[in-house]
Amino acid sequence: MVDFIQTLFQFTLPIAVISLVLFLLYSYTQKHYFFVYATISSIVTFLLLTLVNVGLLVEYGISVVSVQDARYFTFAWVLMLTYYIVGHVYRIRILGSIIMPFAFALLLMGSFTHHSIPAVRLYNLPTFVHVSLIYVALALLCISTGSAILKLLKEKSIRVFDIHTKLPAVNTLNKLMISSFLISFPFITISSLIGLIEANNNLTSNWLKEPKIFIGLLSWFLYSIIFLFYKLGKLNSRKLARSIIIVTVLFLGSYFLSTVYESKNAQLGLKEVVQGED
Amino acid sequence: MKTDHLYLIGINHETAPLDVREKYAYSEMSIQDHLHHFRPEEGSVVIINTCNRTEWIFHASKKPESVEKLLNELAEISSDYDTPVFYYNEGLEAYQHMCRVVSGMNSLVPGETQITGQWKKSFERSFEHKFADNSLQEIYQQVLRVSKRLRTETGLGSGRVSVSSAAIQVVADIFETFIDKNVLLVGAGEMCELAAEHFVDSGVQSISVVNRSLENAQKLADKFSAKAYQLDDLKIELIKADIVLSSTGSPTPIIDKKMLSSIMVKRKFRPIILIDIAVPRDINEDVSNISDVYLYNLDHLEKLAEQNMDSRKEKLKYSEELLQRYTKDSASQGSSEIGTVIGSLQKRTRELQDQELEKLFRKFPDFSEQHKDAIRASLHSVSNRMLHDPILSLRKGNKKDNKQRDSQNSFVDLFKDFFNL
Repeated sequence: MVDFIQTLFQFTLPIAVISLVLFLLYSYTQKHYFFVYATISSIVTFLLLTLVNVGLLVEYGISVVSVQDARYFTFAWVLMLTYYIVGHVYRIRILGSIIMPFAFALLLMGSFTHHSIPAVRLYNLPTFVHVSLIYVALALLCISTGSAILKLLKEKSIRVFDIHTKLPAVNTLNKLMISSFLISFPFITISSLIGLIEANNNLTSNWLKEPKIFIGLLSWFLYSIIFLFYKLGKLNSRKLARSIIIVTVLFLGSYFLSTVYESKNAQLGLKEVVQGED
Repeated sequence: MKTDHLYLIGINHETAPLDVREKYAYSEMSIQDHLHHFRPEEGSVVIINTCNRTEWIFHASKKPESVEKLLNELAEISSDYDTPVFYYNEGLEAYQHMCRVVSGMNSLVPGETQITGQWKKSFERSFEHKFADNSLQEIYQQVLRVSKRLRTETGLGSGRVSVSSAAIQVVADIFETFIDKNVLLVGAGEMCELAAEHFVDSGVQSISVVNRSLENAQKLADKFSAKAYQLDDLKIELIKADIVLSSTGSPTPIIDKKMLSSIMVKRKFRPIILIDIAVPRDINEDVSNISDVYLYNLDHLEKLAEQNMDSRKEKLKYSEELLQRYTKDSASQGSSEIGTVIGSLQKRTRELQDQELEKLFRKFPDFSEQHKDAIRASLHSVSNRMLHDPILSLRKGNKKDNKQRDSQNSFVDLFKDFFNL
């Protein structure tokens, strides 16, 4: 099964690269046909990636969230799906030029990552829910950040009276930026709570010092402050856009720490579990 | 499509001075007499008459005498000037020139769209009054198709080139739609009225007018079903507005950073566009530093309009390349029957319409001319709508490749049988 999944992924990657190039060409030239071909190839990539993820789920069950390369594939898949939904609702094509390269970068990172066998006993249903919610929340934050970047670029072009910019209207970008930022918050909050409970139950006592957890909590704290200030009407859209970019970078930092490095605490925790059983 | 028998003579803003253009600027009333005068014995004539050009288009199997006469006349006038005041094209070049005119490539303001309507009207007049026959139909249709394609693919007509319409463009940069936006007019003068017309044309439904004199505000508000307020209510109205257009005679700014900063907090930083077309300015420049405030004054709008104009000029080169490609393609396609079939169908419909109208008007002789015109227009509109889909199907068929062309020909035959053409 694993061999089949890897073969399938080998088919996915070249198409993903083609799609990536086409999206970059579209963002540079703004030619409609580049967008059409980029979308077609990205949908093919998405469908193949769906099969890869289904295969991984069948093979590992809910422990799939601990397979190092699968973490990249799943997040890329969720990100692409979120982009398709948002792109359909808001009709913001150019967003693909930011989101899709990032999704393909995740796939590339996944392809260079070792296919580790998961520590099955550590990854139970709450952990699966925690990671799944994180993916959804991060995907929404990425969309929000993409819109924030486009909004700042659009504002810049407006201020210098650049008529050649074909970015969407500021108000449209604002709406997308704010709505995805607001929707993401409950997902990330619930996920963080589940994560904290699981870490407290399964890991060693100094789990709070672990970088990914520490940065994750710091990010959530910052997110909450921004969320509160926005709700109180104290943040203008420019400040909000910049804050969203910072929060997303922090969360992604936490995500990459959890995927790039093996968690020492997890290893220790696993040892404790194994020793306890012995 | 045969372009070989096309002859085109013209004068325009580039070739002829105003006094020459005035001489050939035919009035709406006299244009039919001129069509009579120029009509070749066998073939068609169309006169295009706009403020910047007069063109005579002939389509005949041999060069009509009228062409020679007109050329001699214009050559004589040209002798008073350093360069010829006219241009003359035949065949493919005439066809290409028509495409340039209709797509707006040849206009004083490149890409303007008014010319397309004027050009169509001139052709329809000639078709209606039998100054042009069906042989010209296919060229007419093809010119419209190529021009539309040129406009779409080059974006030649994009971007506003007048200051008042540039205001609409800046709004479109901020808001995706105008329909649910609140427009606030500060002042009740002519400029505000003109701007209000532009906004209403763009779909704005909610307008408020704020003015020192409530009476004047009310007068303007009544024209657009808007609400009128006194200047004291400006702060309250600024909280509600999305687009503000200011043009008062105030010698000092009436909106400044301090005032707007507090308003933006109350608005929860909803974006607001301020368009200041007053001289001296009504809105202090420093408000543009506030986030979510987008300020445009006259200088900004003029700059934008100039940039749009430059952009259109840049697109002309690309448009010319496409034009060469498309017109040569269509000219080399050979004689397609489609244009003739469409022409015959339209002709037959017109004949039927005329017959029926004649019967109707005989039956009701008391109808006034106004009523008759209204009935004619209504019938014409119905038949155009009825013909729209079959004609569209035929044109779509024309774009198919060679493999499909055989079946297309049989479709054309079937179409002819169906309508007894």
